[in-house]
Amino acid sequence: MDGEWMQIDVAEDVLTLTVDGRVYSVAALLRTAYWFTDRAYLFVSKPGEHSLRVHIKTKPPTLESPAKHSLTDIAGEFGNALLDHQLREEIEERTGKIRELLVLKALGEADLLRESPPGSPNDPVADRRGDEFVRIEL
Amino acid sequence: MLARTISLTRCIYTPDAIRQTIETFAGICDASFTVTEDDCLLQIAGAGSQPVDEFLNYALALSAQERLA
Repeated sequence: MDGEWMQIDVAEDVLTLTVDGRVYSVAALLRTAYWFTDRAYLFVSKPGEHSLRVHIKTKPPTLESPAKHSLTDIAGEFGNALLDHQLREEIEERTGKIRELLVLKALGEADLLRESPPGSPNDPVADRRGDEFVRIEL
Repeated sequence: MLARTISLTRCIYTPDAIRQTIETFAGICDASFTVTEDDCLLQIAGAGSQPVDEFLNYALALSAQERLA
């Protein structure tokens, strides 16, 4: 990376971010990119084994979104969002099981797990016909 | 008609997402792709730069949905 993680091609109005794959996961990058597709055009390439390159181009203003976003603003926000998603992923990895246990414990204490699901498990047609059948008792 | 070839890395873009994008953009541009071990090579013709950008954005969003579902 060596300080070349961000390049701006002013003529093409394209900004390129190089992301270290050893720091950020593909999932975190995809999550981040997904949320930026409404504001910018994004393309992701893989120039090396451990690097991913995100090409960001601003979208032309529309009636729905008349303000043109600056490339450097988008790049800054993208970097922050990427870090945020990566952090969430790592926290989930470390504490996900504990969270699941806490939820299960809370549900168990409220006795919600023993409650039968709503509705009848019986066949409604058989239930309706119940009176019509003659029951033979031995 | 000039055709562009764009290499889409398979660690990001899924063939299914590209196939679906091609179907969606069928009336706007003429695209096809071949799958190699690491990449999907997309050939796209009959479109200016903005439809291509829209195409790639759509493919990226679909790939993200598919991979993160």
